[in-house]
Amino acid sequence: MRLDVGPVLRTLARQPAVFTTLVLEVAAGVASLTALLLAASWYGVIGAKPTSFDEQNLALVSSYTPGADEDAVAAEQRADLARVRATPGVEAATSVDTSVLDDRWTYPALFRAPGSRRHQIGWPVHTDDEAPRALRLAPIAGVMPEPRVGAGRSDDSGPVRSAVVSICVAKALFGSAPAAIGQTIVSDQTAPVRVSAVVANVTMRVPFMPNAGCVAFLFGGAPRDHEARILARAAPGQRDALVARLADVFAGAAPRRWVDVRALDSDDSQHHRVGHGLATFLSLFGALVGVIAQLGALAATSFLVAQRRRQIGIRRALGATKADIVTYFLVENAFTMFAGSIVGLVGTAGLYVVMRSYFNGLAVDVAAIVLGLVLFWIAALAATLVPALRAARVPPGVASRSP
Amino acid sequence: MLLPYHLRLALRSLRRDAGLSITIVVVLAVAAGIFCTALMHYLRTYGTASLRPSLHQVEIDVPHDTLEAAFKDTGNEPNVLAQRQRTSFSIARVLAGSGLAVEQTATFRGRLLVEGEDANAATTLPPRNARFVTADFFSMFEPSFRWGAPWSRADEARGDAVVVLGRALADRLFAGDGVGRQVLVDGRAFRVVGVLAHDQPFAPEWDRVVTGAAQDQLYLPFDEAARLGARPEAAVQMAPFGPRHADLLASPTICVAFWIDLPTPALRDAYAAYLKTTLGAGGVRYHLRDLATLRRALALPRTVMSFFVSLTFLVLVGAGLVVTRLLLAKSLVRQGELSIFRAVGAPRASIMVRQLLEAALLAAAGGVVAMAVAAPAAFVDNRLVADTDIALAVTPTAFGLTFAATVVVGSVAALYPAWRAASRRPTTTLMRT
Repeated sequence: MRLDVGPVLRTLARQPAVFTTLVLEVAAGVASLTALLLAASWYGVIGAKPTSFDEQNLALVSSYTPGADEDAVAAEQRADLARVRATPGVEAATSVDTSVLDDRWTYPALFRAPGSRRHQIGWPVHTDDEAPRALRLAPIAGVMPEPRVGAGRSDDSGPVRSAVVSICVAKALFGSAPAAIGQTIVSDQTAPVRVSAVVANVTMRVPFMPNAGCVAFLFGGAPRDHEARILARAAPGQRDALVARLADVFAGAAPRRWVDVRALDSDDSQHHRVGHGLATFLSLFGALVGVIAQLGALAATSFLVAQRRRQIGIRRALGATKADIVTYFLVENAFTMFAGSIVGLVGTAGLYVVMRSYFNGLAVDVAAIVLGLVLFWIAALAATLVPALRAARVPPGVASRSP
Repeated sequence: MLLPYHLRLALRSLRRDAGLSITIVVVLAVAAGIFCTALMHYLRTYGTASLRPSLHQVEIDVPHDTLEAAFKDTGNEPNVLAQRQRTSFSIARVLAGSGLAVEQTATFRGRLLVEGEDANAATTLPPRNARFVTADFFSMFEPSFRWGAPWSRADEARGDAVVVLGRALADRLFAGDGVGRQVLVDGRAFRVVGVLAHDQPFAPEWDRVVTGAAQDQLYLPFDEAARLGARPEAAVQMAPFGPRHADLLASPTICVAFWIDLPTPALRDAYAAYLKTTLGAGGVRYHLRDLATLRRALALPRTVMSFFVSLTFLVLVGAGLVVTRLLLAKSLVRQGELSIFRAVGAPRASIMVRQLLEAALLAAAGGVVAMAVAAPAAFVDNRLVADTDIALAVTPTAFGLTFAATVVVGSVAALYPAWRAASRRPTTTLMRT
């Protein structure tokens, strides 16, 4: 087999318009395919974004208690918390007014330090003094609130007593974690409250949002609502057993109440479903772009082979082997693919710049780009191979015949 | 006219190269299907209903400069701003008593438990989005009804326990027409008077706070909110208030959208005077804004949907380049036939028109076949992604735009091959062939 690129280059040079079209076609395919895969990769990463909690050992009890008698509703919710805490296998349980598994519509708040122009978007989470134990919140600075003396294991009733903020809130408002301790924060949704501790960033709500990990845990002050949520910590490896026990505990809940017990598994959340759904969806579209490239290459090479039948016969008559003919077409295609890929990657770079304004924190996923290129090359070269093999079967005698 | 003649020849030519024609149609259809899917998302997000321009909203002036800056370009900016462009319960009550002969509605959304009349308590469904509105809401925002009709002002005045169901919830609770049947809302019985025909808009004009969120699933008379103790969604607290529902109702918390229809300048002036007397005199700062102004203020920012429409259009352009290549190959194969046409007197323009017609026919077929990609894609999207319960669907607008884009791309893609085919000298080509 001889790899003679001369005839290939001459053929391409003879038809500059065709060559340009081919290069642009490959470039458009490569740029759109890699951009689709970059977006798919971003959604996949966001969908799989962990909450930073020890999810393997947390269970979530969500409830809705109807009724116009607010005291009765609040009493029922307190009883739920007590029931959860009394369930065997529960190490700690805390009430929270939001969780990553919620399907309701909520917005973050804009936290400010009074008298300062600094501000930070974050998620206020009303909870109780058991939160540090139940959520394993370790302080970076400051001291976690302890259950109030004489109040026993508190719930979240009463005014807001203190706040624990995640590190991004502390840094944005006060410059550092230690500087935040003892300072007051306020937001459009919450009353002024003093910061008692700073913890690592955690995801309580929508990971798609910028600053998803910025949270302020507010101890006390939860607004009354028909809906309530309790996070319960199980002993390591005991979560499934605890979920089953809690389901039994609430199986006999009052009629016309809704109680849902499940593992706090962010894979079960809407953001996970949407993220992975979009990643799959965009990958499918990427595959369809590959199909377009393949169909184009298949049809066009078939016609080129048909058109060059006599030329191929002459080459065969002059001693070219079947492998030479196949190589000729593959090399010709590889040339245009190479040039198109280079132009396409320049296009990908341009698209990446645009994408960064839409996809928060979009990374240059080299694996996705390489995968896109490889898929595109495989699709196009495989499509070329079929007509190229047909060309190789052209007998040398064709050279002496009229077309 | 030579057009029918060219059309006949073009069709004959397409039939002769059936394999190539099918390939071109498939290539364009796949690319146009991808484009159409992105377009459906875009149209669902940015589509607006045609409403009376005389609709106005009354808003309490709440400062939000910092908030606007903080949420800028996050995609949540309009929702967050809309949170503040509402009123409180107490002010909504005052506004409702204007005494002017106009249509008006106060509205907010909460979450409630909803069950069919024969529901088993052991299988209670999760809480549903329930919107509280007055009877005028339905004539002001004109949602279409599949069954039944909205409740009337008289029903409202009598305090009848009536409900209008959204399409999805009605399908869930009743197999067919649910009008006249009962649903239990937080354990209380309500009579179904109507069922809506369609999903709500992605950005519902009546309460832009819920833009992009799960849609309203049922509509209840506004006064039922207090009886049910419903908590409003996305309330903006203006001052501390007690833990009880009554404290919330009496507080200045911003959570109710208040709409009024002011069809004549005289009515608008009268209402402006009324607001000045009732709110202005009490030191309350407010705005009275018409629909067009509000739409401008809460315009949806460019989202990832804009990007995907552009990107998938690039895919369609790429498919157009594939078509160019295929048409070039086709004209090479058929150069002998084209040369004979030229040799017997066909002008260049005639060859070119025929080539372009062929391409336009193929592109049109591609635009139609694209729906065979777009419709399943919408089906998969609604199940696999489901970022909102507002269903993605192939609308006439999406089809029309996709069809037009495909025909344009296909026709432009044919320009160079058509010009090249028309430019060949017949004698040279005939000698070669």
